[in-house]
Parts: sequence; C-alpha cells; structure tokens
Amino acid sequence: MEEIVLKVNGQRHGLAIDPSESLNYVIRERLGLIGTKKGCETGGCGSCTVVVDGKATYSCMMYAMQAVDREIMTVEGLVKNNELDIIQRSFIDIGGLQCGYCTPGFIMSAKALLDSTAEPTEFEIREALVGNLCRCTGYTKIFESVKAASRAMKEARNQTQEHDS
Amino acid sequence: MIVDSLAKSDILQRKKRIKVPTLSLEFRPKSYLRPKTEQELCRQLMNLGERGRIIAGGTGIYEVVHRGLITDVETLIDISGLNLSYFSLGRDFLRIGATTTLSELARSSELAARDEFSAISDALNSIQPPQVKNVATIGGAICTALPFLDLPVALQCLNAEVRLAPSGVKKKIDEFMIGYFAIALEQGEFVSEIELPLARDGSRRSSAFQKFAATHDDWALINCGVSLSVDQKRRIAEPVIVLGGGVGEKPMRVKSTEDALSGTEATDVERIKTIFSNSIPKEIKTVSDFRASSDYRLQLAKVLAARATTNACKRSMSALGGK
Repeated sequence: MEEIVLKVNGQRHGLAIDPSESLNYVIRERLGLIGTKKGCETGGCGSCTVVVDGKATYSCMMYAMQAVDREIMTVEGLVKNNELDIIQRSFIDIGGLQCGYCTPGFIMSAKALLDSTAEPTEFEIREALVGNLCRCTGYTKIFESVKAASRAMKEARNQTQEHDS
Repeated sequence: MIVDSLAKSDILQRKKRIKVPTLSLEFRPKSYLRPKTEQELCRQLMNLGERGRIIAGGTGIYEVVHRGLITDVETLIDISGLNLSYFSLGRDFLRIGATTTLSELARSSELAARDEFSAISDALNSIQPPQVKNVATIGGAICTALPFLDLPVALQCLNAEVRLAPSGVKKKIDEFMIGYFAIALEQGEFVSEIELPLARDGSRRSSAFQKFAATHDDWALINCGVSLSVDQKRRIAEPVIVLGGGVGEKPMRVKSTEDALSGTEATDVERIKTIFSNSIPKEIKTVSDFRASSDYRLQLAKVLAARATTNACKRSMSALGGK
C-alpha cells in the first residue's frame, strides 16, 4: 500500500491505495464519486474522462499514483453552490443525452475544451469530443449542447465585463 | 433537485449495497517510485533490473499488461518528474525530450516550422482521442515497441535516433526496436530524448504519413512514412520509405523500393503507383489476422505508400514556390 494525497475537485484526500489501482477505480470506489463512469477500460469509449491539470484524460488508463500532485476534476466538481455548471445546463436544455452513461465523459471533454478555447469552431468541438462514444444521440445534440454552452459562457463573460466597467 | 440527490453521503450509502467490482488490472505492481533526478533513476533501474519498469504516460503499459508480458515487474518508475518534456533546436538536430506528450508535439512551433517534419504532424493528426494525446509520450511510443503505432514509423522515415542515458549512446529507431515489446536497452539505461536530423539548407526535404485503421481508435492495419527531396529537375531524390502496422514485428524500411523510386518524375503519379505495385510485394510480407487479410494489407501498403509519396512530393514542390 502507498499513502498518497489526491486533489480532486479542489479537495485534498489522504488515501492508502494499492499502486495498481487506476485513477478511475480510486475516484469511483474509494472516493464514491460515481459520476465518472467505467466503460471499455482500453481508451476507446471515453466514459471515464476526467480533467487532469486542465486536460481531458482517460481515468481508466491512468494509475492513481500518476495523478498525485495534479489537479483532478470530475463531473461532480462542476457544481458550485448547488448550481449546475453552464455545460451541464446546456446538455439538459438542448437534450444532449439520452441514457446518460456517456454524458459525464462528454461534459468533462467539453469542459477541458471550453476552458482552453473560448469560442471553439465546429471542427474544434468535434476534435475535442472524438475520444468519447455515444450510442444513443447520434452526436448532433451533443455538439449543439457544447456550442450552446460556449455561447452562454461568452454571454456570462460579457455580463461580468459590463459589471466591472 | 438533481444536485441534492447526488450528495456524496447518499452515494456512499447506496454503494454499501452494491458489490464492489474487483480491481481492473490484473497486474499488481508492489511499489511506485518517482525519481527526481536522472542519477536516482539510473540507480533504481540498476537495482531493480527486470523487476522495474519505466512508466511515462501509462497508456502503453495497458497493452503490455493485457498480454501478460509484465509479470516480473514489481515496481513502476514514474519519470514524469525528470523534466524530460522539451524541444531544443540546434544547428544539425531538433531534440525532443522523451516525455514530451503527443499534444505538446502537435502544438510545437519547432515541428510546424519545418516542412521536412510533416510526417510527424500527419501521424499526430491520425491519432484521435485527445485523452490519449494529452498523456502519451514520444518516448513511450517508441519504448512500447509495437509495430502498429504511428509515431515510430513517422520518426523512422525521418532518420530519427534515440538517445540513451546515462551513456549518451545514440541508436537508430530500427536498431532500438527489436521486435514485439522488445527494445535494445541495457540494465540501468533509459531513453532521454529523440533526435531528428535537420535537412540541409536548400534540400527541400519534405515528408508525409498515411495510415488506415478499421475504426478511429484502433491500431493501423498499415501505416507508412515517407521522406524525400525533389531536385531541380523535379525528380525524387533520396527517398526513405517505412511501412508499419501488419508487416511484422517492427516497422520495415523498404530499400529496394526506395531505389526504384529514386529519379522518378515527382509529378508522375501513375508511374509512382506502378513502382509501388511492383516493388512492395517483393519486399514485405504482410500478416493475416481477424482485422484484415494479408492480401488486403498488401493492397493498403501499395496505396498508402503511393499516397504518402505523392503528398511529400507536392509539399516539396510547393516549397519550390509553386513551380
């Protein structure tokens, strides 16, 4: 067993783990954050996607030991003061989900994209989501959800600027 | 409200009723080390021998684990703390640190600025999920030593060399990759950087990469890297052609085909296609498996090599100024 501290959603967790445990396992089974899903475990489906140091990462292909000293964000970390994040809101409003299994992965891929690229093009959105599979929606609504989130975030930024000036 | 129902305590309570699945990995390293210096790493590698294995991005380990080829390993040695992610442009070489990620390569101005390295950009564009590119490393792509990976093929056609530490010895990719999962590393050694030779001024060196895979996240059935120059008379000069995927235990350079291609008119696409059709089957033996038959792979090899060659020619000629 190894004693580690993992920083997940801004909170530090002291854990004693087996070095063979994947980040996905630790997030779900040790921290109880089951928003992050477990899927193919071979880097094909993307349902396990979390954001590590600002970058979308497959949590099933990363040992938890690799995530020490990094900032990990899961879908639960998007919620602030019991309010859903703009991206989550958009997926609900637009209907970017059906069964919902892939949704946390898509949302975290979109989060990494929108945090690094303020107004992504259609192509950039598709590129950012290519590592996530959805077998229900046919993707159109998912792309629309991300576009809507991007627009809503821009509006929110403009409003803050108006407030500031 | 949705958020309230997702409260953590509730999840934990529900979890008590659910059977916790077994660990996802059969492979059980007993310990995990994070050396901070190269000396520390070498010491650990020396002491552990076969019982230690370097981990960088970690995506390659999964393949090794699934094939049961890592059973002696007790300790993983994480080299992400060694600051081996860098680009360093010298007079004759571009040096790339071993733990530079594929995303960092894709964003690199050092690579984008030079036409001769286009094969690398092509290969990176063909590797899809950002989740993999964000963690997988250039050194890892080579050290995993699988012939289906794309970067080793692109790097080999550019005559890249692998620099080993602490000895400083350089090895060509072809010498370094021995076969499936096998690399030419002595005990205590590790790959510190990849060295790409810069083209001579005015040589109009260019390159291209092509691949075909059954699905977006699968390995290449066949991939191909080509680098070449187009001379003043618009003839192909000094081509280097490397085929990977299902061609054997490691990427293969096809030297007779290169000889046949030398001097060919760079704009004569039909002639280029014919050369590959005739020469490639004599030089490589493609494998058959559930992904594709040997014949299909051979056909892909001819077509992709011709496409990569034509693309590289076009790039080289556009460097001529559209003439």
